[in-house]
Amino acid sequence: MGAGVTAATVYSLDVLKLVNLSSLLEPSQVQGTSISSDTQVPHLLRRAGFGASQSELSSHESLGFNSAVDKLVNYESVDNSPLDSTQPNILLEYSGKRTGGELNNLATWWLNRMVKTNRPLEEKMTLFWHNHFATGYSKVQNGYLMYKQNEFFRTNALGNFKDILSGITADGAMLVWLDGNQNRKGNPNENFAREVMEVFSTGRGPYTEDDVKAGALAFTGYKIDTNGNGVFDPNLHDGSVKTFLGHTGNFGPADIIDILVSHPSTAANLSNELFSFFAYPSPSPDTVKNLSQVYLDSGHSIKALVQAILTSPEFMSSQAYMSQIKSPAEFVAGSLRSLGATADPVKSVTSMSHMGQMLFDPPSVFGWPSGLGWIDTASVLERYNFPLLLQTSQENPSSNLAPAAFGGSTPDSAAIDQLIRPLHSEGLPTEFMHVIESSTASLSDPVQKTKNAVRLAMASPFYNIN
Amino acid sequence: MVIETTKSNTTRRLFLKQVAQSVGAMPSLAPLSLGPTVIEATDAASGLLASAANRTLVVIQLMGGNDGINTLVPYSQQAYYQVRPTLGLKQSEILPIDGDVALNGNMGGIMGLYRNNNAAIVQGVSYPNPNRSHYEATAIWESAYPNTPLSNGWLGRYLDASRKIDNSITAVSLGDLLPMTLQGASSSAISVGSLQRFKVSPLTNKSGPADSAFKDLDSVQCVSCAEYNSLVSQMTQQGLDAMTASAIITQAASGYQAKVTYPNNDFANRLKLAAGIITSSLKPRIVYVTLGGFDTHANQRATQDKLLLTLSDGLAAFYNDLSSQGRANDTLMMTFSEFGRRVKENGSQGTDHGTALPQFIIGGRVSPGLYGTYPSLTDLEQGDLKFNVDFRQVYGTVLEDWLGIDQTTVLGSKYNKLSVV
Repeated sequence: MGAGVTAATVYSLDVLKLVNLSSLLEPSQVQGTSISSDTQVPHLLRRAGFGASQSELSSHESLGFNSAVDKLVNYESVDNSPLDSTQPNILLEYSGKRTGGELNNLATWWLNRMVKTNRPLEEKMTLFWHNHFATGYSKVQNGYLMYKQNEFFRTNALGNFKDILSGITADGAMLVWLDGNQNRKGNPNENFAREVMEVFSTGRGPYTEDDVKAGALAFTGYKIDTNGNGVFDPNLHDGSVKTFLGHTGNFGPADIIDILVSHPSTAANLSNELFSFFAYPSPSPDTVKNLSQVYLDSGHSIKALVQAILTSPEFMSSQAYMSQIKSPAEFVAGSLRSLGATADPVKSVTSMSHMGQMLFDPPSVFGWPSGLGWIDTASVLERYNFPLLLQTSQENPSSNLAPAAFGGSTPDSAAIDQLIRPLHSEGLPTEFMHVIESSTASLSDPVQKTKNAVRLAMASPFYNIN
Repeated sequence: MVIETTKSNTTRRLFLKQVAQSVGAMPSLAPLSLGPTVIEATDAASGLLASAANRTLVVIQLMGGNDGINTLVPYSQQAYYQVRPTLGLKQSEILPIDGDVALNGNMGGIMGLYRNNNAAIVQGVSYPNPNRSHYEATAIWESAYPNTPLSNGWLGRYLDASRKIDNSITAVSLGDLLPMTLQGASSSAISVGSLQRFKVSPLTNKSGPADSAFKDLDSVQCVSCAEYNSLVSQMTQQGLDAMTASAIITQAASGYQAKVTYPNNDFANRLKLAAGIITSSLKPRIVYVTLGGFDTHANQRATQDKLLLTLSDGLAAFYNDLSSQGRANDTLMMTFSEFGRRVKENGSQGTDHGTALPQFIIGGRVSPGLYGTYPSLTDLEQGDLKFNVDFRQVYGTVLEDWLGIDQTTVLGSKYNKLSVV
């Protein structure tokens, strides 16, 4: 079920059509005005990545917006080998045994990738797929399978959706999570068949309970081999004739996946979800329609879809700018990445879990909330306290967060502004700057002053909004 | 998929007294677009609500869809052992309530409460055209509007309405991110994950209250922020509410001495925290606790047995603790889950998504016994049980007979009540 030659050919041709396709999104259809040119690249790096250091921002700004998008999207040409050679501290072979602490070891490994990667969009899309195909360690109970699934998302981050859906159907962690490995001829299990439509492809609407039952029969036959790979065993498969979403035949998994990836509801659902992830929730029907066409015309290319979104007038509109609440991953990884700071890895992912996001363990197949769903009294206080973990270069030589030079000829306000600007490149409104200045004015120790200023900047709404 | 947990742009408030005083004017209440009528603050309504002043409703959400058939076991129905060849509980594995039904053998805790006349079980609860999607079914139980997608929950609407009369009414959720049940159009609830973390740590080397700089930050009137989709003001309001809630909960729960030993697990720990908060001066009207893991498509026995043990022993300890504190008569517990499970077990020694299931109502003032009738295991609809009690009858009963509010205010219609409280 790997990428076929035909699919790859179609895909590369259609990427060439992208520029024309994205111009289908007429500026006149877009609500809100276009944001100013100096905010465009910071906006892009927050949405298509996890924020940026000042030098990373400068290098992308010097490229200009369109070339910056190209660089983010065509990340294969960006060397990431030092990071790619790192592996989580778990048992790297399939075994029935759990190793202690493997969930934390996986989460800290991934957080480090979000912070250090030279390919931010690859990592952001890996997070997108983890949420889309939300699979939780709490049921899978196997660090190796969770790791393999995460690497699959990374390898296919901007791949072809047919390959992605095929791969996830036979993914070891998914087979455990939605009981695909229990779905046998004569003993069907509906779990995967329902969610593959409701959550992974068409969304609710086009299917009936009978389609769920027919889909379950068509997906019978998977088991997990001794290496932790999902394999299809024809002897366990129900080869009977099924009627599924109006089609009739003795369908197997590949047939169902073909029907699902080409279904107009899948095109709309993925377009809506990716657009909401990168731009703003509830896009207009016209936007969804145009993006659906990009998806279908490109032969289900996620790269085409994402590039169309990032270069759309909607993405650059005031409706998109600062319209999202940062997820805990964006909040935590964003601070470490933009400030170049270090923090205790296990304490960092623990704090993220108290903000509501334990990596590798989403609460259900529906994934995590979004927007204000992230914010309640407990998660707000956790966000106020997380920055206590950030280390300056005085505490940890590998941290690039140097204490600001207070007390010289530079006024405090300028020193603080320079210190915290990586957190929000456009700068904080003066009202918030005044609070930070007055709350740190009585301190003389530059380290304490630096830490407090960073902490308050991260507590301000401008760091929590994306 | 991206879930819009909070669709409304209205700022949802905790409506804590302290916040209301410091902020002054109350935010305008967005009218509900659907169903529920707005409560009139009449003397009758005020009196009814005041009668519930010392009471707490504890909602226990069993996430994933609990298999009601192996929870309250219809062991006298012959079909039971035919449809559950591997999952069927033997006579030695059940605790008979009467000649027809029995509790799962792991539920000795709740059986003890039942025998002491402190528990009621409502059988066969669901609604017309039941939904088998976790997401939609959960939203239906939480919103109490099966046919209309709402972004607010039934207890959130109770908060909206009751706070118009008494804005000191509070709700507390213990555990994960705030459930939709507690989201009103204009109201929200306190969410506490862990008591130890539920506070602002002080700034380094800074004297004065730990949170004063954060309060200053969240009190900023930012002129240039208006264009950002109101998120700035929503975030700062959430911050202020969180700090107020932190002070209240910390004072309420620190130093609480339980009178019984709770089981050593996360669920029981949260119930113990709930007991501390219920017995404090905060007197929350609602406490919300979740227990997850009920989606037993495969190898159900081991998983569900353990969960039911956790549930049952936890609730028994919680009840006994409250009883020792003299609060059993002021506390009502209610379980719910998004659906029960398929009658016939699947080929993985598990069960797929189904429909009706029992709800447990526990408290010192419960009228004990079984309510409704147990659905037939052979007279089915699409392989699933036919319900005989609508869950809104249970909600309506709780709203009127426990929380002291007209059920139409929250549910939009009147449902036949059960004489359970």
